[in-house]
Amino acid sequence: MQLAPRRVRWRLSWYYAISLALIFSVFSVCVFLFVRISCMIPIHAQLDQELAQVEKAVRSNSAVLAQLETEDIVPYFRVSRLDPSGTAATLYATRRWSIARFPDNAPVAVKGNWLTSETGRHYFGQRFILSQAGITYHIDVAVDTEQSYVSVKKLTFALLMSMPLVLLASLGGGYFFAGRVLAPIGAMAHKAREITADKLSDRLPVQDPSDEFGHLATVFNDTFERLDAYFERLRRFTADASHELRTPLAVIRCVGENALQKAGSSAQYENAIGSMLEETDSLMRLLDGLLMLTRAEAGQLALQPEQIDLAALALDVVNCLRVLAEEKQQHLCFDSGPPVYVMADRATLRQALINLLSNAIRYTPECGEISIHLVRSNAGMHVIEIRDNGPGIAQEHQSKIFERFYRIDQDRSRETGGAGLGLAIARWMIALNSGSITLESEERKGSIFRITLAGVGISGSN
Amino acid sequence: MHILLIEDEKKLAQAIQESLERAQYAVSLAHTGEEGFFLLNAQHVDLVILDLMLPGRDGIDILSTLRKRHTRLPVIIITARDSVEDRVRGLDSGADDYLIKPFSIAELHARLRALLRRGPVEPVLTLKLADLHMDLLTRHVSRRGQSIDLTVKEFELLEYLLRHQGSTVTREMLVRDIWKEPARVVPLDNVIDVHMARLRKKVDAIFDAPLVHTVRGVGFILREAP
Repeated sequence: MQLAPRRVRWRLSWYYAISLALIFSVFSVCVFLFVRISCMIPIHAQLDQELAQVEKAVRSNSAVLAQLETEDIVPYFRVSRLDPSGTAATLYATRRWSIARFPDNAPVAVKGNWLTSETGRHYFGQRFILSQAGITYHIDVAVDTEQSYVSVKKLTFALLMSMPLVLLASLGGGYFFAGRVLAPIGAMAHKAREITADKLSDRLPVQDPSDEFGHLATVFNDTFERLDAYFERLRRFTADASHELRTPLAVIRCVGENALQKAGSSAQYENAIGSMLEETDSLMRLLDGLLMLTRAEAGQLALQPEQIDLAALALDVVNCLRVLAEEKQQHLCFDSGPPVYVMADRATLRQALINLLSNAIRYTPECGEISIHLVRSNAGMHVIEIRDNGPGIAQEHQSKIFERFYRIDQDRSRETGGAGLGLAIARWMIALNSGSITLESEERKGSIFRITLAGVGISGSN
Repeated sequence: MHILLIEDEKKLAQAIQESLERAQYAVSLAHTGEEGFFLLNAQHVDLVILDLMLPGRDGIDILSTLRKRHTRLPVIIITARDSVEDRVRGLDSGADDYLIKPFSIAELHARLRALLRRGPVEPVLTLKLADLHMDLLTRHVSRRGQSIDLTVKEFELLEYLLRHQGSTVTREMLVRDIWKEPARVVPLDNVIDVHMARLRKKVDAIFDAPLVHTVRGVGFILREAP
């Protein structure tokens, strides 16, 4: 598995650079507009004031106009009179206005516009149209804005020039930081590559469990944990299965060979064949059990759910197995009570009950006590409990007791128990009937196996 | 009685053939379906034992062809396919019985006898073996005139053994016929052993000639000589 952190690193840097460039552009436009507007505000104020003065002068008499120029109150202005034909004749223009020699006889807009003098200096001019006694006057005023113009121009230049620099710097910085941020991924990939099926106990390094990578590593570690447990179960299953399958085969083989090697009496041969047949029987049972489990898991068991009286079914099972308890002088008690209806497949449910109860009888010592209780719980669920006061099941075995081939005694003695499929089958049979099974047990006190099934109402109401 | 056995596994076929011949049946052996058909047309056959997985032609196919011509010929299927659908398919195609491998030869014999005995069966009122008597109407059991008190299960067991007297009864047959348990996986061996031990105590213990015998690794048999 080849991770490509470099590509992610580049991508991250590009995203970073592009977003930074966008932000910078918006910022630049804002700064530009702000500066320009702040420059224009005093210019407009000055123009308004100067226009008012010139207008006042035009309204009174033209002598004041000259005074405005000579006293340097309004340095750039021009007053022209509009003929009825539409041509404008200049009445008065200041010296500076004339020297500036604005092109095209300086068309000045009412709302203001930029003017450039012959020398290239920048001005801002505005026109006021005055109508007095049927005569239309154009009052044009201009302000020297060269300084502001140059400032704005310089600012624009600076902003434009810094753009590529910003891009480059952000790309480099992004690449550097992305590399630092992505470093744990490289470390994780490196470590993960080392974790193989036989080294599943290793875990990924978690630098900071609260950040995203720490979280990812924790998730991976949980997965490894589960995989580890799964492989462990598989290893145990394979070992146990081969033990359970090989033991009878070994007996058959050895007994057969032994019988062939020496000339024996027919009784001896009979004995040998008998024991071979017994082993064949146990192999067959094992195979049947495994097949049943496999089919149950694959959902290939044909079930015929019907309404079943759980009380009657339990009583039937108890009566069937009662002789076993009698042989061990155990006290087997069950108070069946009124019918309790569940929707289930009779054969599978019966098998589960038989497995559980015969287990209880097998592991409870002589003169022990086994009881079965039927409890109707509130939520329409029916619970059937199988209690015994046998040796109980230690905490460490409780979670694994339903796994196939799991046996508490590690020596797997065939004298004291079966192959370890009974509870696994029971659990599956109950699961197939949409039920669940739980175990409550305390060592030296006994165990309670609790089956929960969904009820279909009481007294036959469906 | 002539039995046609169609089974490709040679060792199994031979074992079945030998056991059937020992039980005084005439047996023809075929290793393929075609061979089976040839033998079926060449001679009179009373019963067919048919394996489902045969080289070349599927057993179900053979069975349905066979059913077209020999409508009443009893057929027992022996197969390793044990799913419910397979069983239903086999019986639907016209098989009279269905045995799942590995089966016990004792069971095959029991099924054979049941099939060949088919037809109007005389209702039996009493069963007996040597000095053991069972009255099915009054449900009274006695040996050498001495009455024996049996529980319901013990009575059923003894009746079953008496009806199969002289031939071996396997645990599987008991589980299926007496305990009515369809699955082989159900652990009832211990239950059977307990009932059997109790039955023996009542039927045999106080008498010098035991009638109930254990066939190790197979099951039980009711007969006079050991």
